[in-house]
Amino acid sequence: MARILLLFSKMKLQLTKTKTVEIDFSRLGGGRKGLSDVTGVVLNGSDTRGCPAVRLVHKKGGWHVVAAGFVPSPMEALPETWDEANKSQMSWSLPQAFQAPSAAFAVNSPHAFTRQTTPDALTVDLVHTAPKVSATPPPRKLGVRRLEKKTEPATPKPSDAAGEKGLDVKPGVPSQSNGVRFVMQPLAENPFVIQAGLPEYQLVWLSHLLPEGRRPTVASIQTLPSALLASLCEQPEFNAAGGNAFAIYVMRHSVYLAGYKDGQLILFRSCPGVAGWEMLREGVKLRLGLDEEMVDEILDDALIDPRSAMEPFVRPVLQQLEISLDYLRSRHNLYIDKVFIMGMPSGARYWSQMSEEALRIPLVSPSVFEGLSLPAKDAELAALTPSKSQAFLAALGAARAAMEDNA
Amino acid sequence: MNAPKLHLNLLRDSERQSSSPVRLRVMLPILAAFACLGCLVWWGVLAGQLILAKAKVSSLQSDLDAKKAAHSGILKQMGDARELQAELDQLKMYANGRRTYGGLFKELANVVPEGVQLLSLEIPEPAAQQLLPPGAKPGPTVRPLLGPTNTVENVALRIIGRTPRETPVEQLMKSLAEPAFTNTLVIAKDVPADQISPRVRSFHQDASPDEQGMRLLSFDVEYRCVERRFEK
Repeated sequence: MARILLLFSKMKLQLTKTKTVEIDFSRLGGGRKGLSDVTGVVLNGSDTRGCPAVRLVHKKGGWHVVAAGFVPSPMEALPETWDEANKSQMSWSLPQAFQAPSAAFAVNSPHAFTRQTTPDALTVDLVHTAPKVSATPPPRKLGVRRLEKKTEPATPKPSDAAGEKGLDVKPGVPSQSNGVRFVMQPLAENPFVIQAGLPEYQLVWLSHLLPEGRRPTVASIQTLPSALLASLCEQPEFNAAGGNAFAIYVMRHSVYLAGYKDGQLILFRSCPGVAGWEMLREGVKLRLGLDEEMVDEILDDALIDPRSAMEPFVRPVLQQLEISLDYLRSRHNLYIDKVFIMGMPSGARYWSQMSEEALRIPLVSPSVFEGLSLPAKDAELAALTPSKSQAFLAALGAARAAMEDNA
Repeated sequence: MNAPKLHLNLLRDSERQSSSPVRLRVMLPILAAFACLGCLVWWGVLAGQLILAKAKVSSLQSDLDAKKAAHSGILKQMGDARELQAELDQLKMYANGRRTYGGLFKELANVVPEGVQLLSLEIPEPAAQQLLPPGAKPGPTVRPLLGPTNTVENVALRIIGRTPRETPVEQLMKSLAEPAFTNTLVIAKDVPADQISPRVRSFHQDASPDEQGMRLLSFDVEYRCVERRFEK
């Protein structure tokens, strides 16, 4: 039925011999239309202040931040099972400043995954991981889509391509397997792809989190790491380097590395065995005997050198950075001299010092709003330090990625 | 630098919802239904008009069939009327072409001088006109024309008499040139010779075996009469 509808979704009218008008009816609903006004929101980000949100507008060839701040979290937490997803009564609304036509979610879920892989491994990994994160869907209830119950296939061979297994995996188009919905995009480095996925019940819940008929409604749902990837796109230093840069995204519980070549993602890794900035703060706090309120001040100040306390956390990341840069140099002949470190609320300067000592590469940590026009009336936003602005990194990245068609 | 492809959107297009208070997915079917309804009404109106037109055509057809008989009768009557009218016209033309000579002869008695003896007053009958249709041969089935094909007919008054001398004849001719006779007789002198009226056909010594015959003159004078015109 859907294929039949797709056949009739476009109509070509030949007005003259040389002039033809094509009407894409599927665009009438705004389905694939490029978005120009999006509010990016980080969900389940474990921030006590609420959900970081950034409203980004693209007009007259420029990118404008209309509002940035923390919005109250939804009354209900991200569901962990189908039952929770079915029971919840969702009616979430955002403050007026963030009521753009569309919203882009960056979801932090323990069941989410984002990784660089190959098309062959795509299906194999899913088959093995899916039963761990998905449960058998309960009987259908109003407003919740029933998932097709699939029998677990025989152990696949690594050489089995996704297409051969009957999965219709196309770049940028969500697919589903064993209760997990995933999407992939090919990387600039063939044959690798970047793949992100979430359990189906969480996606169903998220897709109905914002009620229809009121601003905003959900236009994009991404995993938190995948949302980070687009946050550098408008950075002046990133563009000055021709899009050849490396980024270390230090998040609360994990660290991600991303390599860009000509602005295209070429490498994405999650640092194995590395804790995020929360553990680093805890370590510094315990090692130096600081109060909770003092940690960020110490990490941003030059009075006390916390590098000895940071080293156990930073050193493995720098080792991974060195490995990654060597890989890019040897495999792609790509010499990176611009490395960003993003996402940390404090301590970036010490990361940079330690990197310069170890690798002779300084790390850059600009404000996430660099290169974007900020609202003139919002003095608080304009006064945000680069460290404080990092809280909005994922929200900005989610909004920017959703507006990819406007790039 | 190429545009990046970094959007890993897990939301399906079918799950996208509109933020518009008027939902497109609701409005589209309603608009489609209204469009269909409008088309149906339009087609209904067209069908109604077609049925009415067909009924009108059949009604007119039956009316036409009914009037055809009357029409043929009327056509026949009109033909008859035309024929009768033609006959009437011919009769009228005959009436208009009729010439009376009674007054001429009555007045003639008053103007004949004493020395003139009229032996004959004759208006010769003109040649019979062709009343058959062109190319038709006479026969019982051939219907003759209602009127003459030649609408103008000329006749003449021929006066034959005797007189002892010329003067009474000249006096008679002078009297006949007076207005009392010119409405019937034509007086034309300054015209070609064959059209002169009156024309003296003969004036000579009378050859009858009478005692006084040797002293009498015989004359024959022809007057053209006003032509008969078969016109309305």
